[in-house]
Amino acid sequence: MTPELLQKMGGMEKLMEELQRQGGMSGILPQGPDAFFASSLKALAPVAKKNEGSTVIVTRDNQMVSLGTVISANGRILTKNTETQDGKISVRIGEKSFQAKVIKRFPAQDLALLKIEANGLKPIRFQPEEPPLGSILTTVGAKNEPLGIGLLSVSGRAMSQVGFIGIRGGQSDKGVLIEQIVPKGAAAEAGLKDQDIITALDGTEVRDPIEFGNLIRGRKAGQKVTIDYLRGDQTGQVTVTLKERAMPEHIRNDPRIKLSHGQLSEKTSGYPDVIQHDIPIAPQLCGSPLLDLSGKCIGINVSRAGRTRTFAIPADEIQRILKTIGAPKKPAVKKTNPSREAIQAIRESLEQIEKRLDELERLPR
Amino acid sequence: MVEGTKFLLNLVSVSTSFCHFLLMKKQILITFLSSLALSVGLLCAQSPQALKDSKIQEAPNVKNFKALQKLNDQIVALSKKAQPATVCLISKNGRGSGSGVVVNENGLILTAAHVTANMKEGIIVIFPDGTRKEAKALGADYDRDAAMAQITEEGPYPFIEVGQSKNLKKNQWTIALGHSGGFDPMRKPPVRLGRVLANREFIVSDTAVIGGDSGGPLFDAKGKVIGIHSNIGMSLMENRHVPIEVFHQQWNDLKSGKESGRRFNNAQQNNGPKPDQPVLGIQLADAEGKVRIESVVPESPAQKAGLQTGDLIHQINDTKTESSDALMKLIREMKVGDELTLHYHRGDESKSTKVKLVRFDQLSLSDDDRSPEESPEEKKQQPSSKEDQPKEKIEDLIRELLEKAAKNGGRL
Repeated sequence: MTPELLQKMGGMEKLMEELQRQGGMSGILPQGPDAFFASSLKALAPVAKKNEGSTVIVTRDNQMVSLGTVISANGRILTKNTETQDGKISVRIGEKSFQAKVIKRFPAQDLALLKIEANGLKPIRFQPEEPPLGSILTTVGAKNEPLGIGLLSVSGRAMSQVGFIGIRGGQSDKGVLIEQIVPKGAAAEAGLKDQDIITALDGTEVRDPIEFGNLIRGRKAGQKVTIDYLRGDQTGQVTVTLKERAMPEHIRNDPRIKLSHGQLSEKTSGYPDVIQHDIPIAPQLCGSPLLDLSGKCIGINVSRAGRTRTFAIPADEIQRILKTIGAPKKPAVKKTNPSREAIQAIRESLEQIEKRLDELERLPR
Repeated sequence: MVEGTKFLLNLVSVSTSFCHFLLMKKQILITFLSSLALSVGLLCAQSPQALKDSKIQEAPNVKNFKALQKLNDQIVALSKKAQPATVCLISKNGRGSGSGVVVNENGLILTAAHVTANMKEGIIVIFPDGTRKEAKALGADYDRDAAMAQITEEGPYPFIEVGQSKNLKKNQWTIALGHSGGFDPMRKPPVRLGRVLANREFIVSDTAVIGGDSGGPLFDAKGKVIGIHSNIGMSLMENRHVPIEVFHQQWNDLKSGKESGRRFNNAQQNNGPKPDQPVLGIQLADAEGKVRIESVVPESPAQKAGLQTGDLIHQINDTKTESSDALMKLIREMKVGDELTLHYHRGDESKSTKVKLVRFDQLSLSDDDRSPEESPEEKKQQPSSKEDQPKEKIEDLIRELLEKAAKNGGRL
């Protein structure tokens, strides 16, 4: 734990007070330094040692918001995207503070690439090959201290990226009635309101709310759809950018959820490729390298996502996205002009797939 | 593994006890509580007091890096062997899911009693690779939360050996598996690390488990089953597992279908609100002869009527409400659309307001009111049909198609 974090939480006194309030815990749960836990972290020292200087603190307006992982000697650093959206972003290495420039954002991975004016930094060594399931992992903080111990819980996988529009649809003879709109949901952000009637999706008339839901779920988060709607007698049209299904704030902030899950990151789902492990790190400690016992970096932590899980973007995925910087887009897309038949073939195949997906969505649950 | 200084970070925002929370599960007026505990057996069953006098030998501290390397190899081997035998149990009537572990090649399954309590009409067992088999519930000790089930189709099945829990030591490493959040075709049951903190009525460990893990196995580093996930306490460090000794003591009884005890038998209890149940949109707790509002659901009738957290309800219409149970009972006897007058205290003020009951499923976009463990990618799988499986393949198909297209300059 860093002093910054402790301060943010109201100081040690507050912390101990909070622990005291947890009445029954005193008998069994370690309070204060725990020799066994300390010994396991100490045993991890050789792993941390190999990565000395590779974890840095990232601040936004002088507040620590996350950690960062050094990926080049000349000042390239990967950190969290959500936490570095605005404000003055700086990187702290030891006592020094460097102003950081955001070179590129990777919203799908929730990573951002920073550049600072520094040389001779110690970059992390990536290990693109994933270690076997159950491998012991750790992650290190800015003082090269192991932040915990855990296991590779689930190998790299894609998560669902189904798009959500954020309404509850109801029947109406003119279209799909917005019975209830999710605050800050995709529809709400596009300007739609309760009681609006959706008449068309991408130019196609819609009536049945279930049918409409299926059409929406056939699309991915981030995709844009055009919605025609009726508000009273007025017609209108908006472009809606579909979103991932998010946990509503009042639930995420519910004390009982916080209690049973701990403090969670903002983005907890929808990663295209993600490793799951069980080192319980606070959201502010994401952006840090995930290491196996060989000391190699197998990923970068991006999300504390629940009581049992933390997510990291795997090293091979990181290497892949880093290659996209400055490089031209995929040659296939750039150069070749596929024949009309080929385009038709792809289109038909995709339609087939969409149809299958729709059918699956409609299966009774 | 959760512990000490690092772990403290997670505790800070905490204000209510989980026990408390689960008591309230019985009297849910709002949605997300029910979904938090999947197969909900997450009852607070053990008094912390009972844990205090736990006399248990301590395991030595971690010696050095080499010791971790050895542990690493043990866990990797165990994960490989244990994962295929860690199954998801789904009740045929669609009322909940849980986990279990296959312990012989004929398909005998150890699980938690609160998992099989709702599965008398038959069980669908799903292996991590997606294979589905039929099973039936055998015996259960509802006081100790121990139960068995048997796959009724012929084996052999992947299985893992059971060990002993008598002589567990404090700080001894533990490894948990289970279908957290329900079966997920995109993800195999997660492997987690922790250690024994106490061993009394339950093994208490900091191996983090959550709804859906109930009934899943806890292992020692040698790869033997030492416990079955039962319930969680008020912090991330309180995860309780039925000691395997409970199974050993009653092996034949459980196998022959004997049922005993009642504490973890949630079959007769309220299984969460029904969609058409009348509700106000508040969550309650008892407060010295009155009922305290613990939280108000946004946009609910209660919120629109101006009710706030901390208000003390003492009367509804002409009936005094001295406990949350009494209040719940009163509401249950009413109908959706009924308007009632609610009398309450706020600080020194005495107030009353009129509230109209709505259907439970009208409260909010209930689909969004999920616990984090039930986020979309880990959606609870209801028993449906085998068609659930192709999902993964279709995604593969898309990828394959696109890759092919890219390679061939767009030609398929």
